[in-house]
Amino acid sequence: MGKGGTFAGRWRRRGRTMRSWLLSTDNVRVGTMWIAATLLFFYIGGLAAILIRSELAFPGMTFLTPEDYAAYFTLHGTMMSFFFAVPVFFGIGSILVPGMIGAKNMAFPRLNSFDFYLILLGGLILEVAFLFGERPMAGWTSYTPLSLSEFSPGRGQDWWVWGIFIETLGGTLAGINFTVTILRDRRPKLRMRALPIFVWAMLFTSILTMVAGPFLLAALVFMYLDRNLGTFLFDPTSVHGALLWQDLFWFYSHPATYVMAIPAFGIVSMILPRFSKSPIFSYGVVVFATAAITALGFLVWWHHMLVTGMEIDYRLFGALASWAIAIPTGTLIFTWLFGLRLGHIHLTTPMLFALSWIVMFTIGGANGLYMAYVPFDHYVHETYWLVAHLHYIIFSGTVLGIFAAIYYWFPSALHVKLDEGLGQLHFWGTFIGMNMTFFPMHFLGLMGAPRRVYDYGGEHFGLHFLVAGGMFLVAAASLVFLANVLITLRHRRRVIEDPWGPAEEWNLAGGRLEGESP
Amino acid sequence: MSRAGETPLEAVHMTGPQPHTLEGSVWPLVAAVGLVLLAVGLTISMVLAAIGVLVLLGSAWGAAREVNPPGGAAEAGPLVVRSDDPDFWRRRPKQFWLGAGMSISSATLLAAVYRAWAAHGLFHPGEWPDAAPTLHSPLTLAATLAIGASLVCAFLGTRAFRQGTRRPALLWLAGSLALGAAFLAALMLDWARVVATGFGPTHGPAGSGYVVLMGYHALTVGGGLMMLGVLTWHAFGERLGARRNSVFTGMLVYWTFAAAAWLLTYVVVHLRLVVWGGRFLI
Repeated sequence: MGKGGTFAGRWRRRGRTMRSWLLSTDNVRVGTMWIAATLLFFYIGGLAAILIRSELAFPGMTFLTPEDYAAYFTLHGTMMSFFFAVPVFFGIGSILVPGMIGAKNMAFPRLNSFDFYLILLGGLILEVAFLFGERPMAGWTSYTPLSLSEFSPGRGQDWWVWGIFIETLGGTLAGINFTVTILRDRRPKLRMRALPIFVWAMLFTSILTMVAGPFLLAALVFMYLDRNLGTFLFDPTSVHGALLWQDLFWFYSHPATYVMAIPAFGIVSMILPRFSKSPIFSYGVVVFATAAITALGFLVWWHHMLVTGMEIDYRLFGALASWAIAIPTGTLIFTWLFGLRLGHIHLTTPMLFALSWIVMFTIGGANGLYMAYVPFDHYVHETYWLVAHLHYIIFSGTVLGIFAAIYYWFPSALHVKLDEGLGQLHFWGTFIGMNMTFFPMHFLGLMGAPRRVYDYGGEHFGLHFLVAGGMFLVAAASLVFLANVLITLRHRRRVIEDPWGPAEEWNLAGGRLEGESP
Repeated sequence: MSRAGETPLEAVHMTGPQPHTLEGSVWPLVAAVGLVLLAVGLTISMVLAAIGVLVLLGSAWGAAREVNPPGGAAEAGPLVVRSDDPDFWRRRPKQFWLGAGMSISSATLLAAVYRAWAAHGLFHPGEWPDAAPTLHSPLTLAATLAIGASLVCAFLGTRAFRQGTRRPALLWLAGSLALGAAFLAALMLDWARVVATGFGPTHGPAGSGYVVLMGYHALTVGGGLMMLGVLTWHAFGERLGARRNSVFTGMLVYWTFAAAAWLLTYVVVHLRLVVWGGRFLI
């Protein structure tokens, strides 16, 4: 047994009081609290989505006021993007990365705990503000001048600014912590070229947040100053001032979409070989492709601004860079598929989530390629096509990936296995529901249905109704997951041997010790 | 491969010498609460913001005490890593990497501020309002010299600790702290001069951009001073010393960045020595 002991054993030795949890700097406990907090925000964002889709299920339905609708789509996007999708993989990484590299804890355990509390408290600021009626309504992107004091009076937008600032600060510092941990705290003979792919994925993710996060931090401070101190940083009368917020926001938020997806690359790379009994086709290709996506991810933020009227050179560059990033992404997908071709696929719950992740992410990438084509983007920008694209990327990129990881590593972490039957039910409900919800949005977008509108004419009723039905199916499946976790923890049928069957996990996806044969 | 009761993950990875794992710490939670109080205070009440700052400072203090228990000066710790060591970079103290990481993040934050300048055309001649005062002044020159001198003192203090000469090390560190504070004071006085000419934060994009740029540097240096102050106090209190000095390495990395960032701003903004379209603008 390693000097650190088992994960579950460390829990027992460190006590079970609330105080021991709240003050813990143990990476497993902090990571567990982190995942729990981000899942809480996921459910809150999901609740907002239910309200939105319920409002839109029937034309003319008005159980929400227009202000309520704006507040709820802001809450949905903010919770899902900033407080679930971006930070959740740091929670998984906190549990897994130190163990995978032979470290007993993160390089800076107190910093790890601090980052968790920043994310938790940042989200709670927004929730409490909502409860007191001070609600931001400018959307999760909060473009200026809509989000400035003239068009968003009151304190709602200020709460949004500080909630996101605190969360982004936590993410940036977590990026530094993970980078230092991975680069410095590896056990002596573990070279970089033998790291588990998930660790590589977390390294690239950490670099993204470390470098891009401060751009959003600066932009948020600028917004606070413009709203409260009368500065002119986002002066709308200046052409470039009007676009400055978008420029700074997307310079962070586009890499943030890779923060939401790259860890899932690592998770999928570790799950697929396990349940196909076939090694990853090429470890090097996966790592280099992920590195290429990380690097290119800093160059493509202009594709969010293709319709702003900026110079053609920038638009062309944005389009070309967006198409270029499809090359390493496609390489990754084919690498995974080639690895499966000679294997014996066993459709466990984690494997189902991992396989569906590949399919859904490919659809999201494909419809994104269309949007990178400037004339097409002029047609579909700010329509439901965009909503479909971002949800196929983010919902599959993050949600399917995180559930794959939870089902896969739950037994390793806690010595109990989530119920496979409920897991399959959760998966199929999610998979069918998300396609029912987001695929029709392509057609809505092509029909010109704008996003973020409070109501619509009867011509789009059928598709909106279908979307609402899919949403409720996803919600029900999410409750099945919650039930699965609660029932499993309640009964705690202890698993001694690896429930997924014997496997040399580290041989299938990297992590070899120096000098050992595959 | 797996031993009884051990999962495959742990069997492979939880081996070899491990650093000590903490039992728990209250300071991360306190620091987070302090930051939230600061943010909430900036929205509803400056008194609350001030309390938040105090809580933050207190948490930094407490965490530094926790990391460096009494008698730390005499404890064994990592000394200089030889440059010909094949594991040179991996054996650098982790505080070095922390300082490097914070510097990288601060650099991109500065890049965002400069992006704002570029968006408003403030790097172009003729975009500055006629009423803009001369930004270069004896105070900005004094501030530049002060932070340069502070960096030199910090470097000499760190080296003195490594060499085991405690008293000179403490004097150099105190000098670095004092010069850093002088930098901030000079910056504040100069900004007061600029605002008195009517070129304040509400004076259009140029005035707003200038106050943000100066504010960024003040925060960067202020944060560094806070770190340096805590470390210096602990050094005086014999919690840090010759054999426990890795944390100064990280501080030095960050202080080098802060000085370099200010030098860039001084050249580009105050001296306006920018090569733009093939011309130097003075």
